[in-house]
Amino acid sequence: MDLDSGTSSTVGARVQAIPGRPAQHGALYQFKQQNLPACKPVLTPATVIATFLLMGFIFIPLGLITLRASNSVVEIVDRYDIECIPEELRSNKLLYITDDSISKNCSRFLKVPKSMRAPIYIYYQLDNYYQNHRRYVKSRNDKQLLHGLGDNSTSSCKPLESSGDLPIVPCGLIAWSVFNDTFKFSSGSSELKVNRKNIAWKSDRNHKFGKDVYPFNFQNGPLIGGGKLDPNTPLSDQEDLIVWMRTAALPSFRKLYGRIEEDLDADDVIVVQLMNNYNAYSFGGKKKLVLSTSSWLGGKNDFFGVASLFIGTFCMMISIVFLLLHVKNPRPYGDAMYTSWNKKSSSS
Amino acid sequence: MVSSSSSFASAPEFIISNNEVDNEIDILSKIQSNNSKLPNWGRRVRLALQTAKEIDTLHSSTPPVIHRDIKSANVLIDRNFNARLAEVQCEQPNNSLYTFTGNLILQNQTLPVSPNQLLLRGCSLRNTEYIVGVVIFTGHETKVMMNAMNVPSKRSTLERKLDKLILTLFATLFVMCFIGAVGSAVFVNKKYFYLHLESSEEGGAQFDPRNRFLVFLLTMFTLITLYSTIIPISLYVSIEMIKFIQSTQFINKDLHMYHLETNTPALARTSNLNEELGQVEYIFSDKTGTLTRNLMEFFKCSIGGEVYGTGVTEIERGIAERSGKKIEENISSNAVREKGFNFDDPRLMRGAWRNEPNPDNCKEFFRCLAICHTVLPEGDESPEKIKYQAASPDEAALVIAAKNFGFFFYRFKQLHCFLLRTPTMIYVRESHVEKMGKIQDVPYEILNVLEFNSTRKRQSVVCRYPDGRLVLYCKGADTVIYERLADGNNDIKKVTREHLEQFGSSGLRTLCLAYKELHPDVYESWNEKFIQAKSSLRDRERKLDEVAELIEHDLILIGSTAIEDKLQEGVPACIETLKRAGIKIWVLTGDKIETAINIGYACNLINNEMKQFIISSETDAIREVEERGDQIEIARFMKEEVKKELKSCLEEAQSYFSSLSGPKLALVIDGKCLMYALDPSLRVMLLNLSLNCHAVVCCRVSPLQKAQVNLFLKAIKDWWCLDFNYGALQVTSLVKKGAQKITLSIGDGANDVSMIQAAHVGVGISGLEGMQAVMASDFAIAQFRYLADLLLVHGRWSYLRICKVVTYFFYKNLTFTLTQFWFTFQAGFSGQRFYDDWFQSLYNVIFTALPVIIVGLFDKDVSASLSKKYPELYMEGIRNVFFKWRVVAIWAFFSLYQSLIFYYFVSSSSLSGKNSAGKTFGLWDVSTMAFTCVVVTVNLRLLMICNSITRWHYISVGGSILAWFIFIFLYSGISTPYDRQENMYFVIYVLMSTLYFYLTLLLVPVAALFCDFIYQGVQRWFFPYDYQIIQEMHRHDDTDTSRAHLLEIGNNLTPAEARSHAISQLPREISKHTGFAFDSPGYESFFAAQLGVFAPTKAWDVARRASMKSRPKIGHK
Repeated sequence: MDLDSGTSSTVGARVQAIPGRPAQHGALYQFKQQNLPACKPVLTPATVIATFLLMGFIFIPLGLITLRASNSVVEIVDRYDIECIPEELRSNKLLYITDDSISKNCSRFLKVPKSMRAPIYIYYQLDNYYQNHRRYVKSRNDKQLLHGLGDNSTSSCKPLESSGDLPIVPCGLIAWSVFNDTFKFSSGSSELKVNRKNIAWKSDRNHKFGKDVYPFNFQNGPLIGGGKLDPNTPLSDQEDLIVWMRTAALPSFRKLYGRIEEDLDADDVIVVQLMNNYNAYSFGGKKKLVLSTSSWLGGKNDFFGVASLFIGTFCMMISIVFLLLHVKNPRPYGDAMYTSWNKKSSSS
Repeated sequence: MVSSSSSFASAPEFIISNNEVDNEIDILSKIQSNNSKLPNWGRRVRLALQTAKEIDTLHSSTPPVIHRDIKSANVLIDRNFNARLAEVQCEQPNNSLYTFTGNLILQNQTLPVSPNQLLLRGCSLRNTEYIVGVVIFTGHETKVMMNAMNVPSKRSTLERKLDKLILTLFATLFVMCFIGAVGSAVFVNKKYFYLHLESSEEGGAQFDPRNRFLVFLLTMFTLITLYSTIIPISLYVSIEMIKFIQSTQFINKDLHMYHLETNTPALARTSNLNEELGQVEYIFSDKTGTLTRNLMEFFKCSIGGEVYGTGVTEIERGIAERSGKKIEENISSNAVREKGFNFDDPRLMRGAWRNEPNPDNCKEFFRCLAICHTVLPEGDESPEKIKYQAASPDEAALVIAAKNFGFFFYRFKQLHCFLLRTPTMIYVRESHVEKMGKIQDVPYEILNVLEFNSTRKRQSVVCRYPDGRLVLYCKGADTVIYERLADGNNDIKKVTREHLEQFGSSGLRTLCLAYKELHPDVYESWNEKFIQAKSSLRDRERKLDEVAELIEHDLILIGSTAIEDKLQEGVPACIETLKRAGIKIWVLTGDKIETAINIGYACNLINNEMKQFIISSETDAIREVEERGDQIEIARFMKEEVKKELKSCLEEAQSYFSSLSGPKLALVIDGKCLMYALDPSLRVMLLNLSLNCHAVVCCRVSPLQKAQVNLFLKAIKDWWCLDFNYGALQVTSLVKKGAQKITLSIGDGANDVSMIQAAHVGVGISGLEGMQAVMASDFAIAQFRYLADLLLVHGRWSYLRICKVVTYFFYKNLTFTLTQFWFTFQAGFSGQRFYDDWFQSLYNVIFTALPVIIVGLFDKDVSASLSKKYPELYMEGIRNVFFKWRVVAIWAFFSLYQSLIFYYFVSSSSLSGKNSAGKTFGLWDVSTMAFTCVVVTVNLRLLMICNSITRWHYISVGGSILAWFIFIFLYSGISTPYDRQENMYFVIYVLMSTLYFYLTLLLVPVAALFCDFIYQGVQRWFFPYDYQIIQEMHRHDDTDTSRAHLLEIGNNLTPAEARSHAISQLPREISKHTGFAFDSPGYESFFAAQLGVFAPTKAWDVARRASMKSRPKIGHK
């Protein structure tokens, strides 16, 4: 407690900070007097009803449009991981997939339900595959992918860091486990050409994977997780790898394999010759092949359309309910009798 | 104890010399500065020798005293230029500010040192150029520091509740982490070959399925860091910032709380308690200086049985109005009107008193006013320019009155004299004494001052007229003066007694004046005793009182004065407003019960519609017991009586508040009864009764009891602590009601300090009583009426704003963290971040920080004028409507809902191709999209809680969203040369190249806010808050109408009208009692200190330093 403010007369001197009345409309004055111009939105029944109505009017058409886009997409999904195992080996899937001597060749016949317009996108889908696991996500080295060996530390690639003295290029779990099933398509007698270029995002190709980085010592270790890479192709051209390395968000994901650039007619039967190399059996994963056309919104996605349709309809309904309530049993708007103190006194 | 030479702290405490201490001593440095008196070289050598000799004496004493600071300023010399060694004996350091006992021993003479010679730490030098003194206490041993030990630090109730919320969040955090960690321990399995879980490399233990417990532990820690965003760390910083601006910019700068006359704005001394102001339920108010102006004005007087003064007090006017009489007020045009003097009577003014029937009485009356006081004149010695420094405004008013009657006290002088019986001179310019128009300066020699204290209730002065006559003048409370009057003259006594009662019932403060001629022999013998008492080391105060008792008898009554203490402007209206706001008001006053009731009526605290419970000790039964004089018996009887009264009142009160329409209740209790009612066995009953009363008036409260009320305050703070001695049933009902009540104390004087510190919120009136209350307070305002602004406007807004800020913070962090939590389930419980590190860190700091602060500063539900027009709105704060667990639960529900929407709506996009080229999104694309949705939604949600949206809201909300986009454009646009993952590279551009992103950005926020909107609509429609109805009622009001303008709408009545309205409701019974004692807080604090109650000093306590004005000298060697 310091009593240095002397006498009562200094109380006045202390507060010279307050000047006379400042300009009444200065922003600072308004701020200090808490008088800033403001709009005061009041949620009246009319606003509530109108807002819901408006939302209904926006989202019902939006839902319809997107649903239509989604419906225009033709999608063929074929799960092949079980079917491709020979009957006798189905009880021991692991043996099948780990034994190199067993042929992994497999044929699938897909019937086209509706005519499909080119381009038809080929995806492989993996379920129960945790590409988003923490250990997995961080097991890569972006510097190495772009610049090659150099003197980069590859410690982030653990546990697949190096082979011998040299770091593996590309190192890390993600690259190591690259997907290596292959698909060949034919319709009738003619083979369907699969365009496997330009399946990765351009930014990945151009800026994340180096043009002169070659996977010279890839998959040389005792354990082989997935596919091998052509040591003579630079990483920027290994689009399979690039696609694979853009890790998926959820344990079920699709990755683009290629494009068929021919139209398919309804009821065509497509023969898929596939090499069932990739081990999804040990962890109970599923492998699916997806053929899909595309709309302006992308692939088949009913969820979005249904969701907007639902929200739109719900808004409409609520607005109608509110409207009915408002008409039948309106609350006197801004009636002082509804304040708690008036209620109390009137109820007694 | 030899005068210490220890180090000089920056603010030590001194004893200084005054007239009673040797005036021949001087110090060398002063003489040196005074060139004319420079000692010659011979003297200097002698001085040096003497100094050396005295130092030798010091050093050779046992134990040796080492003087560490020998310089000329520290050499004490007497008039003959001899260096001297002095010794100071004094008490040990203690915290009693108003006592000090010590002796200065010099040349074998013992001089008493009393509090009058003590200069407390922090005092500033006035009225004199320098002071010579001896340091007695330094640093933490100073009295002021020892008093300043326990300043309570206050935190607002809301903040304490916030702590609980944070604890709940911590619990939630641990639950979430536990779930995640268990999940992780179950998940890890070597079958996920692509994860290499069983590899034995460094750091691989985190997911090693061979040791699942370790996996559990490590994942637990990972998840704690991952989910730590659920704890709103930035909340405290933001709240501090908001509160700081609220207090420094809004409260301190509010022109509605700025008092132009004294140039005093409101002052928030702490920024901790802004929102506490919005929840106050009990106000404890001091009366003098708080409800009243403490601007004492000499209003009436009674001299020799004749009433003078034509003024009419407001209370009188009210009484007259009720009885239908009209009071003619004839204010003569030439009436003297100045501060402290509101008196006009042609019979007395301008010497006209000479023609009155008893001019001698008048003369003595005026002289008594001019002489018997401890006032100091300051400034020019002309009647217009002089200023009086007085310990209490009453005294100043009396001296000013004397001045206006022609007895102008213009100079006060203390002579240097070695002797103890130093005369102090008071110079009075007397007009019209000998004959009309003659002005003469008369010096009166003041021989003794018998000071005022609360036990004596009187003050006397022994003075010697120029012609040698010795007269004792005495003024004091009527009871003590009447006891000491000489026999005879019963007529005047009786008439004056009637006048006193009349004054008292008009709400005036009265004092009786008396005098006595002293025979020189009688005086001399008495004076010796007096000196003895004065220099005694032990029990000095008591001995002085006893000595004073010896001479203060056989007095002759001159008359009485009546001083008006006006109600402050706007007090009745303010109290009315506060009452409507559901605030219960306690007034603590030293007045008598009738006066207190009158004041209660005058300031609208009580009206005739209220049911009054009066618990008084002035009943016949009690008086009867009291007359028998057995203390134990009195105490027992009083306790019984109080118990009986309390019980009956309580029963009656309960019958009232069981019926809803019952009248409001008021309790009037006097100090004595309060003392007994505060007894632990009765306290619960008192509490129960008083908490249900809308107004409580405690009268006859001594400062000590004011301090006791603190206990009571604390009791209100913690209801349930009081359950002892009470029926179990009652206890549960008490506990049920147990929501903490928030109390506010308001006062202006030093005696209110403890009360101010004890309450949740302390408000000081920065008024005439000085700074003590302000120093102890949390908020200081210039006028009581600003309390309405402080509570109803600033407090309510702060409360609303802080509630919004807290709940919003809770919401936004919970929402954000929950999305992360849902992701954990789909990422194998691995603790993978859904969002990039930078997103997570900047979420609270940049993308959602500013808008909520803007809301904390600008949000207003209804304008300030409406807040005051509908004080009932304040009750929402008292009931803590906006920060209940229910409110938090609703927010939690919506954040749960929203986080599910964010996560599942956005992650559903990850499966199929998302552009016309069939390419799919990866983890970082999805998370960036989700984060964008979260930022947009959370910011939009903020706009939904705003009641008023200024341009700054738009700027900050828009700015925050924009900041996110700018950030992500830059962040994903560059790739750094550092060795890190470039996950985010180009992500936003990839997203923006798809239509899907834009549609999601439209759909997800709408879907997320959809439920909130329904909730708000339904709540407003069917369960509107009060403020919402007021908003609706005044929706079309001109928003630009300034508060000042609307203020009048607020109370339709002008303050004057409101007051007269209040006065017209005064009770019908007429008081039979005289009014006020000499009720000055300054004295009360003195009294309190004597009783060992903490009551800090006032640095400018003038009475204390009345004697300091001369050129005191003391030194130390």
